Amino acid sequence: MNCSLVGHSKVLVGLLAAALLPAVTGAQTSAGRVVHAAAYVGADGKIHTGGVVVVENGVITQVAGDVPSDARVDAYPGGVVCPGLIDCAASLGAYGNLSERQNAIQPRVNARDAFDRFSRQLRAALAAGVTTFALAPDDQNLVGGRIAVCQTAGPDGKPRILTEAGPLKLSIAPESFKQDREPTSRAGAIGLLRETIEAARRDASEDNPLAAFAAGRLTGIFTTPSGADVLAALRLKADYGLRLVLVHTRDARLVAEQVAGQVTGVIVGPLDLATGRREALAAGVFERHAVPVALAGGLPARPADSLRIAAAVAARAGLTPEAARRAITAVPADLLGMGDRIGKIQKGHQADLVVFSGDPLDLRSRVLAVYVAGQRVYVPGLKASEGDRP
Amino acid sequence: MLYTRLGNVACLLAIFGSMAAGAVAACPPPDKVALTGGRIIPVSGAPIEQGTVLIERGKIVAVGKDVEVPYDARVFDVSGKVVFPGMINVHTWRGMDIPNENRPVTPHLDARDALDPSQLFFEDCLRLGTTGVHVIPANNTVIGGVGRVVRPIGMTVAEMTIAEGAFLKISATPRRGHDRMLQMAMLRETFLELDDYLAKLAEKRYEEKLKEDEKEIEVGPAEARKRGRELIRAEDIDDQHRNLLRLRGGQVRVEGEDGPTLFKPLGAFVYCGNAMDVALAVKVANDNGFFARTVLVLGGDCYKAVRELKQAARPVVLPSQLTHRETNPLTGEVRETFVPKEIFEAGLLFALVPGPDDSYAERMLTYQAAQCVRHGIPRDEALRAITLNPAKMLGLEKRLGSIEPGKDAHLVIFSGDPLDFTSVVEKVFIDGILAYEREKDVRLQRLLSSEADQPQEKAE
Amino acid sequence: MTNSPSCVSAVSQSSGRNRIPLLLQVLGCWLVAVSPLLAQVRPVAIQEATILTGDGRTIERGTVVFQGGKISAVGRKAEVSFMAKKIQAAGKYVTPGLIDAHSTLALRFAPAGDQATAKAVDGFDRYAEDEIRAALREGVTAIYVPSRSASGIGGLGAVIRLQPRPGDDWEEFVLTDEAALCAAVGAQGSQGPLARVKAAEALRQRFRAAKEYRQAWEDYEEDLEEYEKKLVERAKKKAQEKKAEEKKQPSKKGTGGKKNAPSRDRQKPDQDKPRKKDEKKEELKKPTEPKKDRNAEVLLRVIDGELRLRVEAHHPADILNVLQIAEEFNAALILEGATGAHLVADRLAELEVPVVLSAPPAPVVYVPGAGRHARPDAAAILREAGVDVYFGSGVLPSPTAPPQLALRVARAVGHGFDADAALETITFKAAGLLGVEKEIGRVKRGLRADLVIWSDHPFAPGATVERVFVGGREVYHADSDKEGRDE
Repeated sequence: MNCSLVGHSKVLVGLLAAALLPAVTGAQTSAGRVVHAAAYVGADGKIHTGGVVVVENGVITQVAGDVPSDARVDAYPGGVVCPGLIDCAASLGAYGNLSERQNAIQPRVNARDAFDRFSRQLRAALAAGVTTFALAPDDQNLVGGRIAVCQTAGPDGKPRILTEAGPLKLSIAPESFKQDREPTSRAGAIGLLRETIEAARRDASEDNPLAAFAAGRLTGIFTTPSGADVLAALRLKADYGLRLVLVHTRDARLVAEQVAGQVTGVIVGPLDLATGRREALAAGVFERHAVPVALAGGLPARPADSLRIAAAVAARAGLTPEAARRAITAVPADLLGMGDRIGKIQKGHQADLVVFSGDPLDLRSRVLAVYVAGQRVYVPGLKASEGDRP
Repeated sequence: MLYTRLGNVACLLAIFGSMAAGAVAACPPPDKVALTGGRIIPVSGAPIEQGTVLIERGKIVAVGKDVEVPYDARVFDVSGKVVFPGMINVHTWRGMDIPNENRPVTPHLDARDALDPSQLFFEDCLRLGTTGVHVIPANNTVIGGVGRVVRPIGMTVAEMTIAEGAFLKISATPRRGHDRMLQMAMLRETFLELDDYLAKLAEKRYEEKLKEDEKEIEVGPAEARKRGRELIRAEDIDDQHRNLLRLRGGQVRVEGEDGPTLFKPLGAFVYCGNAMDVALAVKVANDNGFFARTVLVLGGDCYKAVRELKQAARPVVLPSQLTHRETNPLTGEVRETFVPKEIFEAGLLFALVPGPDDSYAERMLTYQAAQCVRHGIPRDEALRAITLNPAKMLGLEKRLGSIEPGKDAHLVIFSGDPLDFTSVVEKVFIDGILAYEREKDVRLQRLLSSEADQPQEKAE
Repeated sequence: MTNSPSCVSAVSQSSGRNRIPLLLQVLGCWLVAVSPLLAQVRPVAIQEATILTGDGRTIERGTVVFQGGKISAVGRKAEVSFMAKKIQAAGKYVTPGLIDAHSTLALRFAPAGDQATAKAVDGFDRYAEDEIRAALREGVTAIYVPSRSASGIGGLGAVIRLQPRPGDDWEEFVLTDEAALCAAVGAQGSQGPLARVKAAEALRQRFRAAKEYRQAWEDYEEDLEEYEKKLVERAKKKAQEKKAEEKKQPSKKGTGGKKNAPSRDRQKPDQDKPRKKDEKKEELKKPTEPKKDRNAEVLLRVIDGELRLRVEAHHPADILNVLQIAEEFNAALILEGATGAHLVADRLAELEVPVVLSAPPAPVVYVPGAGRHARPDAAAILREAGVDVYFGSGVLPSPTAPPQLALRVARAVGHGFDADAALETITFKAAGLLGVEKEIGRVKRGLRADLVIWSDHPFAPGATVERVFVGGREVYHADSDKEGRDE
């Protein structure tokens, strides 16, 4: 914590810089920029010393090593550079607008259309270090639609959509069973899904996301709240060769073995300070079965720092610290199909960075700065009373 | 014995029996009745094969293999059958019109005033071999009222009565709409209020006394209360407080015009719905001096408080649901605990009660006892839990609960072993009266006949 | 306990003669018979640990020794008897058991009427093993349990030390069953602004009524004194009159006079009845005793400063109302929940009212109702303004929900709360707030041995509770905690 005083003064400088920067970004990008902190979170989730991240044209060109002499340096003594946090189950900017319930199968719904980029919630998430999030249709429908991957800020400081063509959202949560339409039960839901997949297999048109999903080309993020739901999803996977990411927490210890090797990954959570032991243990259980785990933040229905709370809770319940850090950065990027572009501090990745005053897993750490594509888009105010709430 | 069997009463019984109960008319008891040739399970001792039970004027006078049957005795040959003590349902509100009064604190209520002799419940008691029923207000209360021990025959409450109510119902578990804290606060305050009441009463009595003597008062209220204490007469205490006083003080001595009056002490059946209530119940009982006369009525998970129960060493009435199930919130695994086993191992005196009417099996005390045997409780102990133990709890062990000379002749003739589920109750004797005969149980026969599609009579 | 002294002497004697087999034999026999007692008597030493004492000090590679339920030595060079059971804790941290300053853990609760005499301890389910273990697993060993309904006065809160299986000494684990009088003020959900006024006014009214009640009793006692005085005077007067009469009219029959005395007395008043009776009516009227009101008596204890008043209030307007009421009736106030407290931080600092923050973290979206002012850095703002801040886990949403006290405080640090003061707020200072600082809250000689061994600093990421001792008895061990792991 001895860096805090120094940190403050740096932040002041940074604040000025941030105010000036957006106007001149275009000219500055090629010159390169260095984020210089004490350590960084590597692609392996471990904290490595030598927190030098060199950014050129919005992309990371060098990690660790010496600070290039000609570059502009943002110094954060004592800080830890972490990839921008990624919430893979959010509804930021579209809260309450992702609940369509007329039809159980709606592959052509795209969450992008609900996105309100002027929402103030986005700023709150950014201030907590969340740079990227999956705008996902909710769990009311079997096939909810297309997920859009968005950013709380682009390099110009304004929220943006990174891709509209994210994974497909599916759900057999109890809320998808309705009395006034099909399906009304799990058996009915699985039956309907099978019919839908089989129909989609016959329809080879390129623009039908269901066809891509049925052919195993497009990932489906599948909400399966109970252990039985998980097994049902795994049977579908086995029958049709689907590419699945499961959203599952409760019965992790019962199904982890079956899930292992069958899915791209599992999304656990959201977890909070009141989460029961059974749920808190889930992430660690999956990790021990070598299943990649991402933690859901559930923004904005949760506190802005809920990703870090989830990671801290899971870490106390047996998730290794490395996996916990990856669960809110690299793994969600992978699960959203963006793993080669964001989520890690490594050469060639988009420079979405958060500088924390310490380990991002440690809830005592504060956000010192947030970068998106190499541009510093957020530095906190100095007074606590000007905190992170919009 | 409050009730003396007179011929006319017996006649009434006979009429009532044939009219309402559909069971065998309770005939005037012959002076002497002998049950011969049956296997006698006296509960208090080892079974007697082909023994004889001799009854004179409603009391058992001899039990054994070589009992001589007098020439003038009415003899029932029960060879091949089993003679068992009449069973006792130690805790039920059934037989009254409603379980509880709406008000939370009602110590003045008495089951006597609510008992309905014509209820089919009593007929069912006979049919299942229950000859003693402790009817007491139910658990949805703070202080519920006084119970009463009755036999399931008789036209009036007086005829039915085996013993006056000796227990007040108290609940340590919140009644509906109460939280736990309010429940305990109300209990505490009820007794504090009793003190206030007695103090005021003493003061009033002292003033009255002075007035009678045409003296002027010369002391302040505090002293007057002290002096007036001795002047309180039985009739000065109102209904609301009389039973509380009996409960707390045991034998309360109050000077009356005809010398000192003794209030009979009351005990309490204290309901503990959850383990956490046990300690509270014990505390309330201790604080108010009725601990030594307390029976604890246990709910589902009370076995968890076995340490406290053991320490208290008071008799307990077990929940009718003998197996307690709870789900581990973490693993979803169901934990099952057989409650009587825990209680038995703690060495407590316990009684079983029948389950709700809609459970065909559990409403039989014999089934409840059989479950205990199945779970490893010694057979003798299980049998005592439906006969002698409840009698002890009610303070009636000199009259009920076993087949021994000198006891009231409450006997059940089973077709086979009582714990065998295929055995049926063939005859019931209550105070020597043949109160039930299966062959003459019209309603049962109709139920068992092929004409079962007839509209059934509503059971209560 | 009668066995324990002989046990100790047996052990020490045989060891003195260096007869190890015998010692083992004796020990073995006794272990079976008196192992629980032995656990109480035999000292335990936690060695080589980093001790966070709870009052701000850190002892590196220190030792804590406890025996008979109390801490007997702390320090880098604390003496450890050869008999002591030694626990090597190199690299581990030892803290006092954490104190949750507001928790509904294992509280079986259904909101009911407005009353002050209800006790939270009656509502605490000591057999809720799962819940208690969940708290111990997070290092929480003592909680303050409120007795409170949705609004108005609820009853008396309690401070309870946790243990998963209650022993015979359960009473000892209730540090106080009258920690504070609980109340709640404020509009619920969609009620309008007038509901707020009404709620505050209702509370004020209760205190006012309590004061009036006391006045009525004081008046009564005064009148009573007067009345009793007059009674004495009258009796004297009467005695004098009687003497005077007796002098005038000497006894008729000597001893027999006594027998007749009553009848004479009875006649006497008859003679001059009319005048005397008039006098009596004027002078001697017995004052009427006011009705007992036990609720009011509890409130009076608050007014007299014997009992603290804890009020849950969220909206700043409600908080200001409560402050006013507390000032008016001179009540020592503690605010609970208090999601809007930071907006009136200066006023709270001025009146030195402590605040227990116990609401769950607020979501990003706007939520109408009580928690709408919540913000994560409220603790920091309050502390900067000079308000004493404490933490509680508040109303837990499910029986398996743990009171994540350490994480909660760590998060407050992440939002600007003073890192050095953080641990104190859930140990030493919390004990002070609850009035039990002489019992728990510090690793200090003479205090109860409620201790937690952590794998790391309690606020550090991934730190887990390894062992917990309450009253010197081990109540949690991570290795035997099947439910805490996934196997």
